[in-house]
Amino acid sequence: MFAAMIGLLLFLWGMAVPLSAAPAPIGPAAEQFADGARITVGLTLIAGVAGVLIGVLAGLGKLSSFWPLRWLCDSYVWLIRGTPLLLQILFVWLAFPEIMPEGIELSDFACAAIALSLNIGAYNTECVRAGILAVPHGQVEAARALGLTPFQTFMDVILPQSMRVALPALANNLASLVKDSSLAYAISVVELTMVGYRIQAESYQPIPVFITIAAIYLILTTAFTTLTAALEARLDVGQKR
Amino acid sequence: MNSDAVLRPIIEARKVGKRFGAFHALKDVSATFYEGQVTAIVGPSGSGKSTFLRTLNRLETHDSGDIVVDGTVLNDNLKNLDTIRREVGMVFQSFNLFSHLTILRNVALAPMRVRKMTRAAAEAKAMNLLERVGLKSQAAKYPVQLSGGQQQRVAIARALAMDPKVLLFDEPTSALDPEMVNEVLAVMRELAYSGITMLVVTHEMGFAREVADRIIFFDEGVILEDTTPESFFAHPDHERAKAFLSQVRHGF
Repeated sequence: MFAAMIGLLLFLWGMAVPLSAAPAPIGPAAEQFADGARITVGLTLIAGVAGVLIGVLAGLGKLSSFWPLRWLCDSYVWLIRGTPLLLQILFVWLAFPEIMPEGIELSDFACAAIALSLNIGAYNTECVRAGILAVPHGQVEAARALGLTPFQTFMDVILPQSMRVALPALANNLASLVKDSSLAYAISVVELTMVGYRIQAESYQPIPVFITIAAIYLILTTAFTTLTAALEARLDVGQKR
Repeated sequence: MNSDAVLRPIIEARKVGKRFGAFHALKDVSATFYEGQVTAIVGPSGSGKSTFLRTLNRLETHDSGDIVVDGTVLNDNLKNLDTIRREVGMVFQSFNLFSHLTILRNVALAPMRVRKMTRAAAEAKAMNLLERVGLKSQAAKYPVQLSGGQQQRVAIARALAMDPKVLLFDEPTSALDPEMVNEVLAVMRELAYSGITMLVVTHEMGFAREVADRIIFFDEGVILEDTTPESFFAHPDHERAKAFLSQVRHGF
C-alpha cells in the first residue's frame, strides 16, 4: 500500500522528465501534462477522502432510528444520484457564490472538489450502508455485553467489519472518480482532460495528445486500484475462504 | 447453600414481563440470585429461559417489573446500564468472537476500552486468561482458524477479562459438535468451583446436576420449579418437568 502511494507520487513529480524527451507535440508540453495530472490527482484524493467520510456519516444516518436524520440522508442520496454530475459541478460553481456570505470566495478548484465530494459521497453512502447491514448482530451484542459504549462498538467492531464488505464497492467508486474529475474542465479547472484539449487545439494533432492523456489516466487508475487492493488485503483477515 | 443469611443477593428480578408482539415470553418472573451461586436454567425451547437471561444485561428490554443488579436498577438510564454491563459478563451460544481481531485482541479489547488499561497490561492479562482456558498457543490466530470448542473457551476468557461479578451463559454448548462439548464444560466446571456467580441456560442435564447449586425450570414464560438439583432430578413437582426430564434423561 505504501509502495503504491510512493509510486504514485514519484510518477506525478517525475513524469515531466520522460515526457519532455518525446517528439512534438508531447515533448514541449510535458510540464502542462504533469500539472494537469497533479490537479486530477488532487481532486481525486480530496473528493475520495471527503467522500468516504460523507459516505460513513450518511450511511449511518440512513440506518438511524431518528427519522428526520434518515429522511435527510435519503433525500441527499436521492438528489445526487438523480441528477447529472455536470449539473452539480455547475451548480456549486454558479449558485454557491450567491448563497455564500459576502467575502467568502471559492476557487474553481474548491468548487469542483466540493461537487465531486458530494457526488461520490452519495454513492459511497449506499456501499457503507450495505457493509454495516452485513455485520452479524451477534458482534454488536457481544461488544455491548462487554460494556463498550455505542461509539466504541461502532469504531472497534462495526466499522472495521463493514469496511471489509464495503471496500470493493468503494474502490469501484474511486476508480470512477479519477475519470469523473475530468468534468471539472467545464468550470475552467485545468485538469488533465482540459490540458489535452488545449494542446491538441494548439498543435492540431489530437491523436498523439489524446493517446498520451488516456495513458496517464490508465496509470492513475491503476495506481489507485493497487492502493485499494492493498487496503483490502490488509482488512481481509480472519475471513473464511 | 442453606445459609441464606450470609448470602448476598447479586441479581434480583421482580415480576419481570416481556412480550414479543402477541407472544408472552415472560410472565411476571421473580427470582433472586446470590453471590457465588451456580444456577442452571433449564426448560423446553421457547419457554423464555434465554429471554430471561438476556433481560438481565438488557440485550432484551423488559416491559414490566424491576431488575436490580448489584444494587443498580436496570432501566433506560445508560449510566446504570454501563455499570451493570461492566459487572455482568456474557457467553453466547454462537460465541460471537470479533472476527476481525486476533484471539489476543478479542480478549484484550474490553479491558482497554472500558477499564482504560494500557495495551501491554490488557494483553498480559489476556495471555493469563488464555492460559487458564488452555489456549495460550492460539493467541495470534483469528477466530475462524479455531474449532467451535476453542472459540467458546476464548469467549469465556473474553468475558472473564472484565472481572465480572456474574457470568451469564446462553446455551454455551448448543452450537458445538458433541466431541467439543466436554472441553467447554471442563472450563465452566473449573469456573464454578472458583466461586464466581454463574447463570447457565443449558440443555446439558449432566452438567446441571453435577455443578449447579440450584435448578430453575422454565415453562411457557414462568418459573415452574426453583429447587436443588437433587430434588429436581429425583422428584420434580410438576407434570411438565417430569415430561421434560423423561425426554432429556437419556445419556446420564
